[in-house]
Amino acid sequence: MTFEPRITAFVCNWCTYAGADLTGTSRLSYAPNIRIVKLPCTGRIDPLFVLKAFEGGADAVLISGCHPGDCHYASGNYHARRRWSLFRKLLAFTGIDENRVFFSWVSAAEGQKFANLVNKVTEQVRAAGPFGERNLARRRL
Amino acid sequence: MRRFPKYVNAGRALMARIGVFICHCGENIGRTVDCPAAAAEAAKLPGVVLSLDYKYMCSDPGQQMINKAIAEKLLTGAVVAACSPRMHERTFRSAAAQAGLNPYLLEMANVREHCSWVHSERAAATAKANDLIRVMVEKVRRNKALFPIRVPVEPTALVVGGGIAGIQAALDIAAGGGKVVLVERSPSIGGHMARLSETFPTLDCSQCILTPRMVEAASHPDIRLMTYSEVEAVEGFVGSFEVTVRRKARYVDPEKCTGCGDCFNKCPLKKIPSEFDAGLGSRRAIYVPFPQAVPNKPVIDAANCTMLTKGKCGLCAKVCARGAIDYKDQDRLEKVKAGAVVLAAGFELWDHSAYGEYGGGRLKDVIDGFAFERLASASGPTGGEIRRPSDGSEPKTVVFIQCCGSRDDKKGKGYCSKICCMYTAKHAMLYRHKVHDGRAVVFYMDVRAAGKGYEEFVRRAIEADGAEYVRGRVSRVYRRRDGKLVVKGADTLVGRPMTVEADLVVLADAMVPRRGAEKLAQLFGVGCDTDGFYSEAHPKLRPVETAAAGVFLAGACQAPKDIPDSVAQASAAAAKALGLFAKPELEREPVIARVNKNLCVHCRACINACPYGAAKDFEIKDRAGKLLRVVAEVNEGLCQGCGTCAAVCRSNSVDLDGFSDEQVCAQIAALE
Amino acid sequence: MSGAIGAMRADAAKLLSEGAVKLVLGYCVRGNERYPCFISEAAQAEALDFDQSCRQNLAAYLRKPEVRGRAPLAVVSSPAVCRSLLVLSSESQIRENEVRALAIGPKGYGGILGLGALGAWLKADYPDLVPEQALLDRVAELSAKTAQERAKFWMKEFEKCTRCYACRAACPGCYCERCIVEKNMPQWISSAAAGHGNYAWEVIRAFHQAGRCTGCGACEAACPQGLPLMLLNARLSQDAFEEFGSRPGYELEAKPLIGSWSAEDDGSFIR
Repeated sequence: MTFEPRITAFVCNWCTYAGADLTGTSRLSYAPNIRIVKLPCTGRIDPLFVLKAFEGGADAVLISGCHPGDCHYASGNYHARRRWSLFRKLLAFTGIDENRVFFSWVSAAEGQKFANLVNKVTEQVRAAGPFGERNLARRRL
Repeated sequence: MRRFPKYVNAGRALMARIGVFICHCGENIGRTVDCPAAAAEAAKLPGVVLSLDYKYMCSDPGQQMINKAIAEKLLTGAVVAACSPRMHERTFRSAAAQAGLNPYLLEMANVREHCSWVHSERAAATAKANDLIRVMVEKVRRNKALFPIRVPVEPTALVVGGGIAGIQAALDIAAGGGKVVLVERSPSIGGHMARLSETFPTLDCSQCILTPRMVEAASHPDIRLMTYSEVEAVEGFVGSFEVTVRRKARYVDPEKCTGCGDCFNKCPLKKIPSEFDAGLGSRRAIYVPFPQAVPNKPVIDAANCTMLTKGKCGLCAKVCARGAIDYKDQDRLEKVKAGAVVLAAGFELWDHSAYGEYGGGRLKDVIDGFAFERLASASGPTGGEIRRPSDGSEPKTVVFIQCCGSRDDKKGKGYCSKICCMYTAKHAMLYRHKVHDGRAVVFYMDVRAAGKGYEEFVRRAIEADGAEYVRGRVSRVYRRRDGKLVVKGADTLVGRPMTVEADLVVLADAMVPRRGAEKLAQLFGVGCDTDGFYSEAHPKLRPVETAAAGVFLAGACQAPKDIPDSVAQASAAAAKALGLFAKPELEREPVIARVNKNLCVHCRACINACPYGAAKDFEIKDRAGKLLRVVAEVNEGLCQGCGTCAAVCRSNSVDLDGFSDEQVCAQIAALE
Repeated sequence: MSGAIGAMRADAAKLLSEGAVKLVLGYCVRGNERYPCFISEAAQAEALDFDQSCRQNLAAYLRKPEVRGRAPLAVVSSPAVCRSLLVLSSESQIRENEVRALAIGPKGYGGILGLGALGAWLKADYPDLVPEQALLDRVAELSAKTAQERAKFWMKEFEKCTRCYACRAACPGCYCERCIVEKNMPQWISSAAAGHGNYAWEVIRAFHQAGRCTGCGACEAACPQGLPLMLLNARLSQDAFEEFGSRPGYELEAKPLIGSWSAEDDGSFIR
C-alpha cells in the first residue's frame, strides 16, 4: 500500500479557516490528507498541541494563521511567530525537522494559496516518508 | 446579574448523549461523501445515541429533526456535519437553543467547504468526513454550557478632544439620547478649526459655521464640558469604563467668573506669544485663548504668571469684582463613568525645522499654514490683512511650498497629508483676493484634489485667481540682505531651474498626530500605526472601531483628514456609540479565558502577552483583608478570546472557554 | 579567592548579627565537596565557602515556602545565580526587600547587593555570560548531523530518563506549583518513564526555559542518569540570543521573551 501522509493542521478561525472555506467555495481541489483543527487564533496554539499530534500519529503538522498585521486579535500571530521560531529549532535539534512542521500565513482571500500549500506539504511529507514508529515522539501502539 | 436561560441540562452533568446530523446539502456533500455510510460510522462512536443524514439540514424540516432529537433523546450535545460553521453555526445553535440545548453544546463539522468541495475521490472524502465528525464528537463531549456575557451599559459617552470631530460626535450622541462628557485639554473647545480663516471648497468662514456648534455643545443639557482637562487613567471595559480625568488648575472659579475681561485687560504680562495665533499675536498670563472661546472664562497660565511663579502682582485678583481668582487652586482628579469612548485627539503640524534648507523656524517670514490662516482671519492678529511677520509690510510675492514633510520617507513622513493641496489652493486664492497686485506661486509635487468640488476649487485658484502653479521641488530658501526671500527650485515640467524672489514663504507641513496621542491610545488599549495614527479595527469594514471594544475613532487622530471627512467619521462614531446604548446590556460571545487561581504562580506571562490588557494582577486576601497571594485574573469584559494567554502559561493554569485544553487535546487524539 | 571568601563570610556574619537577614543560603565544605547550606547564626558564617564546583543554583530554593517564610534572606550568588535572581524578579517571584545577594564570581567578591544592583555588577564583570565554548562545540557538532542521526542520539539519551524530576527540582525557573507534566485533565505529557512521554517532557522542559535559562547547569548536574540537558538549553539560548538578542537575567524588570513580540521578528520560515 502506498504511504498516505496524515497531516494535522492547526489554523486560526479568522484567516486560514476562512481561506480554506474559500478554497471550497472556489471548488479548488487539494490532497485529502489534511485534517483541520480550528482555534480562535495562532496565538492559542500551544507547543504541546504539536507534540500531541505527532504522538498520536500525524506525519506532519501545519500551522497557519493571519498575515502579520492582519491578526483579528491584533498581535496573536506575532506571539505565535516568536514562539515557533524557537520551538521549531528545538524540534529540529531533537530530530523533528522541517519536513514535519510547516508554517504559513494564509489570509481569508487566499483560497488558491491554501490549496497549493496543502498539496505542497502533502508531497513533501510523502517524499520524506512516515514519521516513523521508531521516533521517540511517537506513541507505540 | 447573569441570567441563566433554562436549558434541559448543563451538559457535562449527564452521561454524554450526542446526536450527529449529517447534511447532504442537496448533492453538494452527498455527491462526494457517502453520507449514509458516514452516519452509520458516526453511530458507532462512543456517546453517540443518534446519527441521522438528511438532504438539507438547514431547511425547516432539517432543523425540526434536530429539535425533535434534542427533546426526545435528551441530547447533551450535537454535531452537525454540513457546511462551514461560518455559514450556519448561528442557525443551528439557535435551533438547539430553541429546543432547550445550550447553543454552545452544538458544533459543526465542516464536510462541505473542507471536504466534499475540495476532494473528488469518494472513498478518501468519506474517510475524511468520518474523521472530521469524530473529531467534533470528541470535542462536543467535552463542551461546557456557556452563557453569553452580559455587561450593563452606562449610556454615557466620553469624547476625548474638543475639536470639530469631538464636538460633532458629542452633539450627535446627545441628539440620539445619550449623555456625553467632552474632555478637552486646552481652555476652550473648538480645536484647530476655530483657528481657520475660511474653509475649502466653499470659502465659508470657519468661525461662522463652527462657533454656533461650540455654543450648542456647551449649552446642551446632556453634554458636560470638561475643558482644560486630560484623561489620566482608564479602568473597566466596554459598557462600563471608569475614566479618571485630571482637571487642571484654572485659578479662576468658573462659577463666579462672568467673563467680563477685566482681569486680562489689566494683566501686565502682555508679550506672551499666543498659541492660538501661531505665535503671531500675543496674550496675557490670564487669558481666554480667543474671543469666541467656549467656555468664555479665562485661565491663568501658571508658567508665566508672576503671582504664581514669584508671588508678586496679584492685579487680576484685585480687579475681579466677583472674587473669582484663586491663586491656590490645584489640579483635581475626577472619575467619569462611560459606556463608550470616542477618541478625537486631533493632529498637529510636523516640525518643519528638519527641512533646514527651507529656513523654517529660523527665518521669520517662512511660516506654516496655521500662521497664514491667522494672517488671513478677520479676527486674527492683523485683522485679516496679510502682513509679513518680520516687518509688517504687505508681501507682494508669496511662495507656497507643498508636501513639506509629506511623501518623504527619508526626512519626513511617507504618507500624503491629504489636506495640503486644498488649503494651499485656498491660501493662494485668499491672498489674491486680499492683495490684488500680489503674486502667488505654488510649488507642488502632484495636485491631489479628490473630493466633491475640490478639483473645481483648485482650477478656480489657478484660472480665476491667477495662482501660478509650478510642478517641482524647492531646494533652498534663503534671506537676502534686503529682506527678500530667495526661493530656488525647479520647474520639472519645462525642465529648468527656477528662482523666485519672495516676501513670504508658506510651508504646507505634514499632518502628524498630537503630541501625547500615543500615551492616550495606550490608556485605552488602542493601537497606533508606525506614524502614530490610531489604528482602526479593520481598514475597510471597521474604520471607526478600534481593537478595544467600545472605543471609537473620529477625525485626524486616525489619519490625515479634512473637515468633511472628520465630521462624517465623528457622526459614524456617534452612531456606533448610540448603537451600544440602544440596549441596557451588552451581550458578548462567551469565548473567554479563565485563570485557575489555585494553580497560578503569578509569573505574569499572560499579563504581558494579553493584547487587550484583560489579564491583570489579582490579590487574594483573607477575610481580615490580609494579602495572601497575588495571581493573574482575566477580566471577562475586556477578554476577546484569542487564547494567547493560555498558550504562554507554562503550568496550563489559563484555559479558554470553547477551545479548552481538554477539547483540543481530545480533538487531536481523535485523529489517530 | 581566599580574600573574597573572607569578605563574603564577614558580610554574611554582619547581616545575620545585625538582623538584616534571618537566613543565609550558601555553600559549605563537607569532605572534599561543597554542598548547599542554610545558616541562621553569625557564628556559622565561617563555614561558608565558594568555588567553581558550586553548581547548585541556590535561587531554586527561594520559591520553597519553608525558605521564603524566613525572608529577608541573603544568597551566596555566582553570576549565574545572580541572573536567576533577576529572572525571578522579572517574573514577580521574588521582591527586592526579600532577597539580597552576596555576589561572588571568578573575578572576586562583589559585596552585598540588592536585586536592583545586580544588573550593574553583572554587566561590569560578566557582560557576556554565554555557554562555554566546549558546550557550544558539542551543540554545533550535533546540529551538523542529519535529523535522523539527531533523533537517534536523543532517543538513546531520553530513553535513559527515569522521570525523577531532579532537573526540575534543581532549576530556579521551574517554580510552578503544578508542573505541566502533572496535569491530567487533559494529560498532555505521559507520566510513564518511556517513549513519547520522555520526549515531550524533555522538549517542553527545555522550551519552558526559552529566554529564561541562565545557563547555570544545575539541571544537568542534578541528573542521575547523566542526560546532556545543557545541549538543549545551550541550543535554545543560542537561538534566542541570535534571533531576539535575548540575554535573560541582566535586568531587574524584563519582558518575557515568549509572551512579547516585535513586528521585526524573523518570519522567513513562515511561507
